[in-house]
Amino acid sequence: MSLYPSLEDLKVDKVIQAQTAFSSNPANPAILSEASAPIPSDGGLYPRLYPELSQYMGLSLNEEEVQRNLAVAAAQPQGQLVTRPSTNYMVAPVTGNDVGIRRAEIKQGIREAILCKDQDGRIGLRLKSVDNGIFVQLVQANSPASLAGLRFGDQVLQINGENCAGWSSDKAHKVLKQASAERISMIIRDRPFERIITMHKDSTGHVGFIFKNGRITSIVKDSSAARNGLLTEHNICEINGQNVIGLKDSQVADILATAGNVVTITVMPSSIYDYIIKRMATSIMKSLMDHSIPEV
Amino acid sequence: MATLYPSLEDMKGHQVLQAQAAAGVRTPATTVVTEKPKLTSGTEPPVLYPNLAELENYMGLALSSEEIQKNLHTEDSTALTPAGPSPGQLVAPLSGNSAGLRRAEIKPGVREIHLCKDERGKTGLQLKNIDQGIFVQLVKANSPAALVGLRFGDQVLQIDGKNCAGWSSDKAQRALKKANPEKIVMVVRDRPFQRTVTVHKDSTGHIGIVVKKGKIVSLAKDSSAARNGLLTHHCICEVNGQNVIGMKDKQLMEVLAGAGNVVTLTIIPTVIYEHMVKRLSSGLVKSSMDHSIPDL
Repeated sequence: MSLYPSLEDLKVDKVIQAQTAFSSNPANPAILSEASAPIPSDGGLYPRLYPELSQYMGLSLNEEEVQRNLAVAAAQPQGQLVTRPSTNYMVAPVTGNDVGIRRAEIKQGIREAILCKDQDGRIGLRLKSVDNGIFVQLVQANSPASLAGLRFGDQVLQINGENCAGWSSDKAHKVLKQASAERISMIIRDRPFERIITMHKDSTGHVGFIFKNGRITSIVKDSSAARNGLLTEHNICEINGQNVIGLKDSQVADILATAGNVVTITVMPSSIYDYIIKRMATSIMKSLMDHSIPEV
Repeated sequence: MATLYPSLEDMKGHQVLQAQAAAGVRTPATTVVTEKPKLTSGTEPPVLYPNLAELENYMGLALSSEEIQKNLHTEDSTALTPAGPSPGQLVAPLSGNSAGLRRAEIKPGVREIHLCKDERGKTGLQLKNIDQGIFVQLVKANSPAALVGLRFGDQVLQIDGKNCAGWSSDKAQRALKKANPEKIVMVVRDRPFQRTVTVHKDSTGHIGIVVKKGKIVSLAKDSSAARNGLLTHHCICEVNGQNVIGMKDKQLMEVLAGAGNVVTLTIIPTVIYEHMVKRLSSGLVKSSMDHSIPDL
């Protein structure tokens, strides 16, 4: 059973499979030459595929682009696998090897992060207790925490070998304050309450959702957002892996506009989001938060 | 990119093994098996990790050399080569062989499934509208839906090519009713609101949670549940991939007890769970929900 990052990938792959099955069927050479124009000289498996597809779903698919995305994995005998380091094999003829997905990807597992304090003795991290676990509430820009790749919503399992289960926010901050400045080891679970959804812009450059104050309020019918099952009552945490919490709606719209055709947004249900940022001053959120583009 | 582990015990076990290997390695080795240990205890060559006795008492786990060797060998060359595992690879010295982990795994992405109706014209599926999306609320035992692998919490993106965005629960049920009994094509996103946490039983067979009515109400200090960051106010949906919603607490405990040493729990925040089962008759939940063990 194949997996696809977005619905558009699924549909395009189905068409390609149908065409492949069609063209490789030796019993119908006559039909083949009628239905599709002479096979391109590169011997590609997908003759005359893209002119039809380009109108499909209002996507402006480019023949070279799709071939390129497929060629990335063409080396494998299986055909169309794009392997990403820590997720399952997914087939992605339209999304391809998009860097936004790789940046946004939520890794299923736990990892260790090592931090040092800066010259003021701070790490630029604010934590919050949720459901007897400790979560990252704020990562300050240009801080040791942002360097270590910590993000809003990450769950901290251990600090310097001590389990954080059941700690209050104050206790967590106290432990951090008392920790050695040279090396703080934290065990992190990647953004447990969030998930990513990959969508594609249509020919007018829209993905198809309306948001206000960072919260998705409605979905446009027959858009990529509707097709991919984006939900309302969710807050947008990241766009293509870049944190957008605390940004003005116009700034978020700018980031969306310049984001390229494949947009991967990271969302969190609003009830949980509201709880995590409770009692965090909005001024801090707007001015201090790290909004840099993470490395892959 | 840091190494990922399914559970904290895997991380600690792996780090200990790496430290031991670093102490015993003379030249870069390609496979674990051929390495002739320069380790101090001088036991027979086949036993690679003679100092595991320390690990056995570590964290109260009952580890044995054979178990770890078995798990490591299935990881190919990711363990114990001096270069370490490739970035982003999931390393699981303890959980590696766990079928439960693989059964429970939530795969990010969309997939297509084909459903047929049974002789009474039913699919055994009940759907609910949440946040403008359609979700699986109930999968009846021994039904076509159970056969095709649908699970509580799966998001249905399309039914027979039509987007389900914005549909009411009634509209979705009607669409299923009117659909062709031979074949219904659905596009599904795997359990978006849930996540998996892998824990290990200690020597007394406990993972460290107190469950009431299917909800986690507290965590035991210094237990595997606390270490791995399990949270309270969450409902347990699955144990090792087997649906346990609607089971009596006693039954749930039996499933946990019979689950083997590595337990992968699929959890969902209680607020979202309550929303999902709203107006779902509790009688239905208890009597007809599918509790079978899914195939891999």
